[in-house]
Amino acid sequence: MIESAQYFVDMEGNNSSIQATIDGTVMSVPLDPANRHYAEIMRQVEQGTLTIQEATQ
Amino acid sequence: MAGYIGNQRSVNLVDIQDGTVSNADLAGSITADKLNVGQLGGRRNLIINGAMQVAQRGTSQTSTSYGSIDRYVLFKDGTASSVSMSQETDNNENYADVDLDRGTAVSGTRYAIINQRIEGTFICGKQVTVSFDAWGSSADECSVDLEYYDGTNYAYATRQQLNYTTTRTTYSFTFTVPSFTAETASSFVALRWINDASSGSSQSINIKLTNVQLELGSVATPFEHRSYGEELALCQRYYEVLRSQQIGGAFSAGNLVFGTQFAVTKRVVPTMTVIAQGTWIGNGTANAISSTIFTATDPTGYRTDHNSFAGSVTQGYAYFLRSYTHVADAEL
Repeated sequence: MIESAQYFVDMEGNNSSIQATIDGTVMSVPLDPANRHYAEIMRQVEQGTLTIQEATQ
Repeated sequence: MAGYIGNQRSVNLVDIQDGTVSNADLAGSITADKLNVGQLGGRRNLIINGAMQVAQRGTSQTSTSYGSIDRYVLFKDGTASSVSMSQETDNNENYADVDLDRGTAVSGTRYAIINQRIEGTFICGKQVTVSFDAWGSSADECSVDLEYYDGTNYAYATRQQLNYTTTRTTYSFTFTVPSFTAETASSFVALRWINDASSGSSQSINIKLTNVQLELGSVATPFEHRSYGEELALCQRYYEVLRSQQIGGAFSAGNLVFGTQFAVTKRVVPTMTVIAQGTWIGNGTANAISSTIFTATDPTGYRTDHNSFAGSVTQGYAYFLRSYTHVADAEL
């Protein structure tokens, strides 16, 4: 279960990954559609059941 | 020996001395199950960790997804259903001890499944044979099938029925894999053992599995044993636990940077998780690290930035990272 998701920015200020809490564990999820966690996050975003929070600078 | 064996068209019993047949021109092929030669040539088995040897995450799980024996994943539908799996040993061989409870519903879509997803859509449309050893705490049944996911849609091979007993027995099933439609980085073919409303199973079943093999063709050949090291390396394409000491340095007084390569290149860019933050050591001291940020992760390695840690570091100095645990997950 994905409890939360927030973009993480690199030193150049670009979204480089998503910090997600999945089944109670904080994970760094790459922005790669072939990654199963990213695919599931985006599926839930498309369904409207999850929102990815903007990064905190 | 040249010519014919007399003029007989059918020979039932012939004692041919060693070395007397220099060439044989057979009218038909010899199927693999007629070769009484034990282990055949290697790399036939498309299943990874078929002997249930590798369990990097731990030896038991009571939740869905990946959680214990490498490459095997559990699924269920509904809160009333439950799944569990543990790695057990019998006569010095590992096996998976799996409980699949589809819940109270006996109709509808409730299910509990164990499967292994494999890369290799080249088997789509082809005949493959699956073999494995199975038994249970009591006799029961479940369905076995193959699922093909092309990145968008699912397709299924015709289900077959497994009736197992309390005695360890080798079973084999031949399937035609669904036809190829598309290939993406998320595509897979999954071998599944299913407890659902149409599987004929009791609501809750226990099944023990090992020596799982999936090979091209219609014949089940002897199980292909691989060493633990070989299986571990194959598993690490999808999941790896990292603990070896890393060397890096202080990017600034408030930022430590480390980086390392994976033991095995990952299938895709992996999800990274901190299990233990670790300790930095250098310049005659060591202190705990309290934050880890993964950056520059790709299938070959990753970097970590640490901006919260005990003690003080000096910009430009080299430091070691030790006593940490990171995991990389690139499972299908």
